[in-house]
This record gives sequence, C-alpha cells and structure tokens, in this order.
Amino acid sequence: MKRLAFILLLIVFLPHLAAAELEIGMDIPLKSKEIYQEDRLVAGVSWHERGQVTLTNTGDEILHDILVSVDVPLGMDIEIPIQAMKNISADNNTITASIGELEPGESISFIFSVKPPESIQYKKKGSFVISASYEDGAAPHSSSYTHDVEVVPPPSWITYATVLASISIILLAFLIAWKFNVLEAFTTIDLITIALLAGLIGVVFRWFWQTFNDLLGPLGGLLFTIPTAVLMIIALQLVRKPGTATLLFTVVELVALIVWGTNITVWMGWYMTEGIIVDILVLLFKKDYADRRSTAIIYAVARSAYAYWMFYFFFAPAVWKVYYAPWYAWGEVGIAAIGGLIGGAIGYNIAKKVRGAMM
Amino acid sequence: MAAQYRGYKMKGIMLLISILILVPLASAGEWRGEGTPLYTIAEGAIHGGIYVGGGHGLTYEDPYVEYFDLPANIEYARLYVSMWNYNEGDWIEVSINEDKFGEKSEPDYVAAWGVCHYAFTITDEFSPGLNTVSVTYHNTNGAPYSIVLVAAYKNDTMPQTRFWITEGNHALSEMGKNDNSEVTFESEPLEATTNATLWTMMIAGNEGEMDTLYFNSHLLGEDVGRRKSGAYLDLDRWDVTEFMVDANNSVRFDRGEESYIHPFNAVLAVEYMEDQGEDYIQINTKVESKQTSVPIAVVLVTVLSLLFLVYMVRRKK
Repeated sequence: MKRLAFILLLIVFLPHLAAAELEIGMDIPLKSKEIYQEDRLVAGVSWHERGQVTLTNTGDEILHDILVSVDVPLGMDIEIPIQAMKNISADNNTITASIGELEPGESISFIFSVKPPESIQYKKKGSFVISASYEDGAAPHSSSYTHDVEVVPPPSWITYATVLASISIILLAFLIAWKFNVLEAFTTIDLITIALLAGLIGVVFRWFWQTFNDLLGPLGGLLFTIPTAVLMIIALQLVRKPGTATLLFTVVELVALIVWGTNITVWMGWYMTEGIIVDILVLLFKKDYADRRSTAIIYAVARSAYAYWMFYFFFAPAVWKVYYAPWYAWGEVGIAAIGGLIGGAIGYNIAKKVRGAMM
Repeated sequence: MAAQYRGYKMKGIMLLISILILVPLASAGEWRGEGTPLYTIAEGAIHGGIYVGGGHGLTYEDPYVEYFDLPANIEYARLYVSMWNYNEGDWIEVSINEDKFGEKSEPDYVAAWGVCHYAFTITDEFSPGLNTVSVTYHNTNGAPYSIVLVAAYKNDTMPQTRFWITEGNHALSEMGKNDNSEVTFESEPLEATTNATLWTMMIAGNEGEMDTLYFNSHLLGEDVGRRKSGAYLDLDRWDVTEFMVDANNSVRFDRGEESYIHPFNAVLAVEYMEDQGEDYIQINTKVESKQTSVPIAVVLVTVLSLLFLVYMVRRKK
C-alpha cells in the first residue's frame, strides 16, 4: 500500500519537479506605473500604445526553439518597433516572436505597439492571449497566459455630452445671473477687485506655480492651491455677494485663456463649477463669506479637492485621454485638500487684515 | 493708534506683495520665452543617405530607451533628446549601447514652460546594425518626449545626396503671438535632382487643433501635430520631390488652431542624378537659446494689483 502511494506521488509530482517552466508576463501601456493606470487603454488616441511581453525561464533546463504568439484583441492595429530582439512579426491580429534559447533564470522581452480602436460606445474588456511552445531537450512543452485589459471609450459621445453639460452650466449661470440681477449687485469696485484677484490667480500664481513647482517635488501643486485658496477667501470677504466665487473662477479661466492661450472654451462651464460649489456652500452656511476660520477652510478644501478631482478623473481621461493610476490621482486630490486647508487658514487671516486695511 | 496699526498691516501686505514680485525676478524664471527658430546646424553632400528615426512620446519611463537600426559608415550623427519641464538643476545622462556617453544639464534649446531639446553630436559611437540609446534623467515632474537620431552615412554605391539638418525649438503659441516658423534650406541652384525627402519633428500638437505644414508654399499636411508618434510627439517623413525648387527650398510650420506647438527639427535630403562635386559636410555654429524670465502679463497684473491695494487703503484714509 505504501509502495502504491509512493508510486502515485511520484506520478503526480515528478513531471513538475523535472518540468521546464516558462513564465510569461505582459505590461501595457509601457509607461511609468507610478503615474499611469496599468492595463487600461483609451480608444481614439492618435498614437500606438506600446506593450511588452516578458518570458522568464523559471526552470532549471535550457529552453530551445521558443515560439511565442500574441493574439491581439479588438482588431487593434499592430506595429513592431525597432528593438533588441529580432524575429518578431505581426500578421493580422497576431504577433509572432521566435526565440532561440533561454538559459535557466534568464528573461527576454519584446515590444510591440497597438492602436486602440477609434471609437467604442461603452467600456470593453479585451484579452491578449499569449501562447508559447518550446523544448527543453527532453520533450516539447507549451504554456499560455491571458492578459486582460480594459479599453475605455474615447471622449466621443461622452465628450459631446460633457461639452453640452458644460454649455448648459454656462447658460444656467447666465440665466440665474440675469433672473436675479446678480451682476447688478456687484459694484465697480467689486468687479475690479474680482478682476485683479482673478488676474493674480490666473496669471501671477499660475506662472509662479509653473516656475517653482519642482522645488516641492510631488507637493508642487501646493504652490497653486494655497495662493488660490487665499485669494478666493479674500474675494469672498471683500466682495460679500452671492456669486462671487463663480465670477472669480470664470474670470480666472478667461484671463488664462487670453494670457496663456489655454484652449478651454467648451469646458468653461465645468471650470465655473469650482466657484459654483463654493457659492452653494456660502448659501448653505447662511451667507457666511468665510467670516469664520472654519468656513474659510471648508470652502478652500472643497474647491481645491474638487478642482483636482475634476482634473484627474474628468479632464485627463475625457480631454487628454490619459488614465492616471488611482492611488496617484487620489494622492494628488489629497494634497490639494491639504493645500486648501492651509490656504483657507492663511486666507482667513490675510483677508481679515486686507479687509481691515481697505474697508 | 488705530491708524498706526492699519499702517503696520499695510506695510505687511506691501512687503508680501513685494516679495512675490522680487522672488521670481531674482530667480531664473521658468517661462523660457519663444525659444529658438529652426536653423541649419549641418549640411553637405554625401554619396550615401540620411537616416532619421526615433520615438516614442512622453511615457515617464526611466530609463527611456530607443533602438536604432543603422547603416554602416556614419559620417555625421546628431542625437536629440527632447524633454518636458526643464528646470535648473535637471540633467540627463545618455548611454549608447550600454556605454555611458555623457551627462548634460543645460539643454541646447529651451522654450515656453520648459519644453527643451538636448542635442549631441555623436558620430563615432554608433555601430552598423542595432544600437541602443538609453536616457536616464533627473527632472522632477518631467520626462523625455523622444529620442531622435539624424545621421548622414556614406555608401559609395549610392547616388550623391545633398542634405540639410536643421534644429531649434520654436514655441509657436497663442500667448507669444507666434503663428508660424519657417526655415530655408539655403543652397546654390540645385542641378538635376530627384527623390527629395523631408523629415519634420514637432512636440505638443493636439489632434483636432488644425495646424498646417508647407513646403515651398505647397501644403504637405493639416493637423500634422496630433501625437501620432507617441504622446505629444510627431515625427514625419514626406516625399517632397515634386515640390522642389531650384534653390533655397523652405518649410513652414503654421500653428493654426494649436495652443502650443514646437517645431524641433526639419531635415531635407535630395538625391542628385549626377555627382555635383566632392562630398563634404559643413557644421555650422550653434545658435544660443534665447531666454525670457518673467512674462510681461505677470508683472503687469502684479503692479496693477499693488496699485489698486494702495488706492483702496488711501481711499479709506
């Protein structure tokens, strides 16, 4: 009985102990994983995204005559860039690579690039199916690996919908301003104050941030969020009218449009929402124009976090077709919130002093 | 007492604003101006051809690696590493075929918000066949857009080719009110030519924002800057044989609807049907990058804000 059990164990385990092992891995897109989302492609990008297949001999036998084929999903166009490894070709939807030998513990990789579909209506899953056949001197072997990716729609109809929403926000803002005579409530001094503060945010501190953001490394965004929060709180305290923040951030974008040539016309409505959120909070706090430190901080944190959230989770994928790694994007939103916290607190103190000196 | 206190507060605010004005002025500002229009760095005639290759867009990979499959007998080679977000203290280190070639901190051409171009003359380091160029870098928040190689190679079995290699970094922008950039491939009248090829390299074009490219006033393409060679990168090859003129051919980059676009290189190679004298390569003097520290709009808004603050405080008094 013992002998039988031993033989059975040998039958089960021996092939594994002696077997050649070829480990297959894949990375796509071939970009810094610290910044970009892995395994997510955006349809409609104008370039081919690069991917890399890595083969590792994890066994203790030399592997020969390795033939690898990669089935590319969703009919994506394939290009093979110049690279160290030869004998790679692409035919229809399949990439074929031929590798002579792979020593135990050795790895080899090859690069290909694929163009995500021009347009898809909804998010789609796709699988790169990688098959490898090889020999270890004793017998032929094969192994396979499936690498799943997610292809997300390009802006396409989502973009059109969001552009439409953006225009609707602008129209709604104008309608409210017209219906409730909001603009007439602002004096000439109020409008000059808003214009200059917007100029400071959109021109001076934007330049200041672009210039010096490297000094703080990953915290560089603070150089913009803090001054923006400070100036926003000053605007709220000095002007003290409903709609101040919306007007401020609208003018910020208009100034940036003229001075820096930022092309955001169709997105203007979304940029206005930074101010709309603050104005709604002002109303929720019963027309508290950042008169308390706590409300100043709440407004500043809300604006900063929202602005960064919009950038990483809305503008980046919808406009620039870039998906940031979630931890990176949320980290940036967190840093922005900290910037709002600091800016709100400082802004409260400065606004009090400026208000005292001017009014 | 209250007036004195207000006076102190006012001084404090003035001090803060003054610091904000002076700190950027004291530092080397990162707005780098409109940069350097393209000019001819090298030209000549060679029995052989011109190789232009590279890629692959902004990926934040480090090291950033590009492969080149090169012909033999390279007589002149210029390697370009374009980077985003250059600031003082940044550097790149270039390795060729795993041998360290050199480190460079100051880019050769820089414009706008730190879009820059490092250029290296590397003629003797390459070997026929596959070559690997690897760039490691120190650049907080920045990374390479591309590695591009332009090489003139000798091959006596090939016809004589007249060539021009132009380089620079001209920021065409709404802000700078620069709408186009033109470079002329200056020459004596070209006798009996055929097979004219133009290569162009641009950074920061956007798909859908219509720019145009002209060769001797002939439209080569619209929306050429659309990131087709990788994120933010457009490296194109054009057959311009039918558009050639006798002398001083030119290429013009029109910004059109693009907010920003940076022409970096234009290379022209024209095959002679018969030899036109001896082969030669002429290397021209490098043009120094122009720099602008603080945009006028920044100074203007700051001064206006300061004046308004003074007015408001004095008005209260």
